[in-house]
Amino acid sequence: METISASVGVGGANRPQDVIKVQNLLNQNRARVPDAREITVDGLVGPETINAIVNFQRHVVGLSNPDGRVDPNGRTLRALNQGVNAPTIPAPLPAPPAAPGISVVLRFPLNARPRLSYKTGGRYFGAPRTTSTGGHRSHAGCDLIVPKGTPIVAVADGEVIRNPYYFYSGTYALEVRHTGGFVVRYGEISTAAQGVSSGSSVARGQVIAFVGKLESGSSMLHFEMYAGTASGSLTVRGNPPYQRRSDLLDPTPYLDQATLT
Amino acid sequence: MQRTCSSLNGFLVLILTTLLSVSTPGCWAGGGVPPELLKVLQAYRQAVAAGDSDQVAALSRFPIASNDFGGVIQSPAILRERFQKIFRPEIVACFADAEPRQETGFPGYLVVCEDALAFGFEQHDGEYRFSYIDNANAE
Repeated sequence: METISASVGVGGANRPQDVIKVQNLLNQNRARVPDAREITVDGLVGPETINAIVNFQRHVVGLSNPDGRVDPNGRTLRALNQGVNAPTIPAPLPAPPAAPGISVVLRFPLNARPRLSYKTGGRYFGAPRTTSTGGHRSHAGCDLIVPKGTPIVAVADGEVIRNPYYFYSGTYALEVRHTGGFVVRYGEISTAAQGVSSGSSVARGQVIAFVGKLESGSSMLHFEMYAGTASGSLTVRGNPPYQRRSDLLDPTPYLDQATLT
Repeated sequence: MQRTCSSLNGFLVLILTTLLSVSTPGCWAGGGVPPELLKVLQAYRQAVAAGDSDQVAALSRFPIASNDFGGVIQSPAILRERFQKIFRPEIVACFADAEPRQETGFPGYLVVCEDALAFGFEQHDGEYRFSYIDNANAE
């Protein structure tokens, strides 16, 4: 059990020996935080260490408003120590990040999980993409590769907030605000299901749309999630790296935990 | 004293004018749009509204970079083939009143429609030409 003499992080005393302990603990807990990278253990508090604390607090401690600080007798230090002392195998699925309004386990948006993982091969959230002139951006959702025409179901109860509109390469998108306020963009669809249009109520598991086909011949559900804490268009050019609204979420942990019933 | 204040006011007006005339990437271009572009854009808008693919091609520079609608548009013939797909009624309506703007990373001006689709105009040999389509929703 590691102890520290004073707080580390935002507003902390940041004594080098304490900082080194926290940096080591963060590295030992990396498996518990999605996409966490090893940080430098140098006894200095900079953006890298602060970000690692914030991500740990958000993903593991479950804080919706992480303060970026580890206190001597605080929850964050306890959680860091628990991660070191707990058996590492088998590792549980990472807990979805705390987000306003998403308190339930979602229904998976298809009736079966796709054969190809949405966490590899360019299908994952954050995968690199290029603009028409070779600029860089990041993939804003998870791609669920399935045949054209596959039914798409609502991940929770909700209301359609926008009629299907042009999305990309001959496909369309449908936006639903689900109970609790989070928003899902069901992208690369061919059409909405009969009777599903702006203002429609939808129920968890209800077929709301069908997978479309890109001009390249591939077909998938492009799944984007938003916390619902911002307003306006979901696509925001000039907001790197995703070119999306500020409340964009990584859907991966929600899809991981989603059920097929 | 009055003369000093007057000089100071003139200096401040000069600074403000200079600051306002600087075009900032990522901002709406507003009054800073070059007249050469406005002239081309006016002709382009008329051609799009009329569904005149030949005239749009005449105002374009090939190849047109594109990450949607089948990719790079290599020739006027390919533009004509894809014209209806690119210039849907919603896009035609957008072009009627959308103002060009600048974005970081693109050297020319963009007309953005439906928040995601950008149609770019770049200057070549002193003339602006349509040369770029970028869909921010592209895979």
